[in-house]
Amino acid sequence: MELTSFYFLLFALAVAVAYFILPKKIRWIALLAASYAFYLISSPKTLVFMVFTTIVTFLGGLYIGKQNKKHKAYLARHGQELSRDRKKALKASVQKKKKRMVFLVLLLNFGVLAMVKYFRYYIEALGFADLGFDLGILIPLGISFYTFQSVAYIIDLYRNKFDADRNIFKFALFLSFFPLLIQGPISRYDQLAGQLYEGHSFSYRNLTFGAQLILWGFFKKLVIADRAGIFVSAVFDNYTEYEGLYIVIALLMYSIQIYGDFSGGIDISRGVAQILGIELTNNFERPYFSDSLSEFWRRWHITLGNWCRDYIFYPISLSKGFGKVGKALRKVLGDRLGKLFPVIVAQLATFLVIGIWHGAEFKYVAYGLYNGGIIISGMIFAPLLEWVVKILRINTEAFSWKLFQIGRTFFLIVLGRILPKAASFSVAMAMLKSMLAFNPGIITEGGIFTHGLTANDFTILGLCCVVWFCVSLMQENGWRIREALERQNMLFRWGIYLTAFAVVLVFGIYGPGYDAAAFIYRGF
Amino acid sequence: MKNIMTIKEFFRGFVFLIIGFFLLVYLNNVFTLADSNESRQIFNGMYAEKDNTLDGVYIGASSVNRFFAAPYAFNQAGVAVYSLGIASEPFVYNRYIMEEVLKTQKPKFFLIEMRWFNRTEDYVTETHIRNVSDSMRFLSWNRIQGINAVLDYYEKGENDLDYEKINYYFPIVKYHNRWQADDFYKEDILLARTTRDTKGFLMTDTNTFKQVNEVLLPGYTEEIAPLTEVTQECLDDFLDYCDSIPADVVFTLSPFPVIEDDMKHLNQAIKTVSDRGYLFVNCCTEEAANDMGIDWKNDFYDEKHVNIQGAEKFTSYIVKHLQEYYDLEDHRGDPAYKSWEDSYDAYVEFSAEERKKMDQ
Repeated sequence: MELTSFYFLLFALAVAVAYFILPKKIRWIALLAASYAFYLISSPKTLVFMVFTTIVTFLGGLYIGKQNKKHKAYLARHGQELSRDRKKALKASVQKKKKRMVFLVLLLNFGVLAMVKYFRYYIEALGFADLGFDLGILIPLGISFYTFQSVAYIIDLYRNKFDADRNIFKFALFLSFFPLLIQGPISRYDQLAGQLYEGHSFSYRNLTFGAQLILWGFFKKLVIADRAGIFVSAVFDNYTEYEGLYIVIALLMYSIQIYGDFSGGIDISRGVAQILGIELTNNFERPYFSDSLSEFWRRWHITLGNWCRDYIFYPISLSKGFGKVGKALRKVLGDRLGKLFPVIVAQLATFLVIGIWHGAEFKYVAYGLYNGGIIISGMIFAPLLEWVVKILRINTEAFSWKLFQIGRTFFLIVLGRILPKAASFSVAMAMLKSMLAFNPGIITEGGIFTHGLTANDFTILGLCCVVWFCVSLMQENGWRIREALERQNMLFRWGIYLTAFAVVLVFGIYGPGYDAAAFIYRGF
Repeated sequence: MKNIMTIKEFFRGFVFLIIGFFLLVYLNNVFTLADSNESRQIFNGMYAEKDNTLDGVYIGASSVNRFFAAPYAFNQAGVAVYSLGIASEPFVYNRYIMEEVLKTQKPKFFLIEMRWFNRTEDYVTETHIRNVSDSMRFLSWNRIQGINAVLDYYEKGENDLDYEKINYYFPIVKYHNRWQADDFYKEDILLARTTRDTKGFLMTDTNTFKQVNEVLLPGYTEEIAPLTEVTQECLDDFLDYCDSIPADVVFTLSPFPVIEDDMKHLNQAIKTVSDRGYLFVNCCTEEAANDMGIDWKNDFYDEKHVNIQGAEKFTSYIVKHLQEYYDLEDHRGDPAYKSWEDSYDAYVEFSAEERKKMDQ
């Protein structure tokens, strides 16, 4: 069931009605039933993997939670009597037990993820599938998202951030909450679980705000992303037939497509959750306004970025081992680079994971390294840039400098996107090479309008992108759009909502004969 | 009580939903199948008829709207029989079209054209279905029921139809991109619900006044071959329905160069209908063709459809039969039937020039 399908909307409506009809105490049961029903409808054959991850994580969590409690209780009883060394030894012993369990849960959860998502790829890539090694397993719906949620839960328990969940059904809801299943956001237990378990009251404001967010998500996904996707597919699926501006425009379009697709889907998920009174984490903060690549990754797929920061970047960069290595390197590389070393390693590891998270192929690894490499280069050569700025007397406070930075970042983002989008790394390289051809005639002579999108489509796309840009600009300047609309006269508000509704219905790319509707991030 | 919906909010939300619903209805009326076969105009004509004024309604496919010249019948005998033929209309739809008619009319009889029985459940295209579903009123429950029945029926055959019912319920799902098409006109946006002024009879200068100019040879036979199980079931169900309605039902088979094998199956349909006690006017026999005076070289514009000469001959023949079985009032001169007088004037006016060319 796709988020943009009529059936999903009906399903969400039915869930909302059931949710608010039931007594508050058991509303979470309605959500659990709905989430598992959604999974059964969408991906019935792979439900077993989610159940497995749920049970493993829940039991592991119980064990770690028990260790935390025992340790805390022991300290409360005997803390006064214990020496500092004894306390340390005791903590180390508990940590060791917890670590073992964390390792086991991670091994099992990542093992499942690796088996269904990555192992399968390598089996096929190495030609073993023909020899009968094909596992014949479908990639479970939302596996990357719920696996990362479960890992965050278990590590946070290890860090004693909260108590373990003692109700496996409630915990199952946390991992399976249906609006999150298709493409996240990757939610944290301490932010989401309480909201899910609590029975929320019906709120007209939540209903209208949620519906507005859903409509906005539909607009971005169906009118913008899927329209851009037609041209992108035409070029990338037949890349040998295109060169120069075709590839440049396809890359630009892909950047629009993937942003509209992913953020549109997230808006729909957040909108549905908001109607139920549940606030999901935002996954985007207008990433194309970023003035550096590192800022972009703080604004794009925020929940994945935060996950990598908390469970990869910090553990590596703040680890004692890398700290020691950094110290040793200061003597060889100098103070600044020595200090940077643990950060560089952590950045590399982070972007390697981000790359691999998107898929098993080398192109994804290369995509991760491309981003990580640029950010690391930026860190290393920061003094050089500062020197250039100083020599050229550039006013870094001026709007033009900010614009240059945004443009530069956008260029790097767009260029890098050729890696995940192309069929393979070598195809990406070939496309980059043929991109250098000079053929402005495709615009002046109208050749560009003969590859899936007509001149009308380009006009619609352009106008809708302008609307999207204006809304983003307002948000960037602190506007809260829905709250601002709420204060407007009813006729004006309704006019906007109904126009948006009509625009989605008429200009959206959907219906029979069109099969590119699947969300891009669903595949990750 | 901040979180709970107030009466004012409930009312506001309700009004908004109503407006949104009407917007949805409007858009679904704008974005439908292009009316190239004028099916919607034919339906609109039927909807536009004054309540309870029709003597009969003739239902079928192009073997009705190209064959039965309703204005000509009115001029001849004063009978108001609307020619509700929708291009390639699947037979399963008949009962739902009849239900739609019965909402505003109390016809003495329905005429049902049976040529469709050449086609089994394996034969259908989406356009055949949409010709009807996109022409009926969007909010008609008969439209929804018709879609369900047709798709359920065709699911039993081997075809590659789109079986997603929702795509038929809401034409905009399929046709929203028509805003870019060459056949999308201002009239579509304005919902200028034009009707044909010839009471469903489809007159086009490209076809109605042409002659096929080759001798067409029908493969008459009295032999019988069974219908497919599904087709037989479909016919039986329809006859059950006919038993339950207040109007009479008369079945017809218009003249055409039938293939012998098809005629054998049609004979089975004729037998089933006759066995159930219904009148069947079979015009696909040598005797009937002779009675009508069908000229197989000059009365057709293609091998399936008659031109205006053939239509007039067929219409007269049907009217003659109807007069035999029903005591039909002559509505000529009745002010309530002025639109029928006008339709005959339009019929004559439209055809005057073209007839001259034909006669030459």
